[in-house]
Amino acid sequence: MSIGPYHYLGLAAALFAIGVIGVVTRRNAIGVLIGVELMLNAANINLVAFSRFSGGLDAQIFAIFVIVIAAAEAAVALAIILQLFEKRSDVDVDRARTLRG
Amino acid sequence: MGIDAIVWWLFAAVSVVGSLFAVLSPSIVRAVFSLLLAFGGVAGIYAVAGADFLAILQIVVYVGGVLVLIAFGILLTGRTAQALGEHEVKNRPLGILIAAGIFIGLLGALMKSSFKIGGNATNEPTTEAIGKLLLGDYIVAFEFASVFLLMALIGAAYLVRREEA
Repeated sequence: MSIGPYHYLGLAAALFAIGVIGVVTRRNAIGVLIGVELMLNAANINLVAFSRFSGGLDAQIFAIFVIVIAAAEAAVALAIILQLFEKRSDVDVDRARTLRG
Repeated sequence: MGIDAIVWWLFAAVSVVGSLFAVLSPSIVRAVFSLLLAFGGVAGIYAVAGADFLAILQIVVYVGGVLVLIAFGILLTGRTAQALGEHEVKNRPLGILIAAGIFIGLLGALMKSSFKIGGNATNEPTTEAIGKLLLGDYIVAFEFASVFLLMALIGAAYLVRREEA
């Protein structure tokens, strides 16, 4: 049985769900970031699959922009995490509640 | 089952196992190294799908950039990673339940949809065509992305500066 779009999209769904586990269960802010990166990768697999099975390259361009955004997001998120660590000497997302109303 | 299908399943297994360890491992350092496995598996999937440029980009940007950045983040916040210890994860059964719900929902939507396969899947090199598209049809988005990256860089450097007394 050859690999079709369903295989790619199923794999992407699995990676996305695994990323969700990381985002909702980790308490270390960096662990949450790892989950977000996995979810972005899952979205990219979808784009690559659509590019593969539509015969055009435009979806791959979108995937490149997703990678660009992900890199910028990781840089800014780590800057925020480091600043949080500077102020509170921990990166526990449960205890960072200064802004809570 | 052809050789490409076997390779595809291999890379899919590597990425799923790697990402599972990345989110479930109690040690954040191990999680980062499992993430390396997951990113490598995804790069392999891109390569099997004929997206050679994206596969290289995935390795250069994610494995060489994002992963190193995350490792630096762990180094610089090292004390808490140990302090959290086994309290690192919270509400795991609930989280897995939510994730399973999302997965089943996505699979349900997938099973109901049908895809029209257009074009023929070739394994031609894509780099030249992507370069022409990026600097042709998508030039505005490309320029915006470069300005956006500069903004993110300046913003990140500004955020981590030390307060001068």
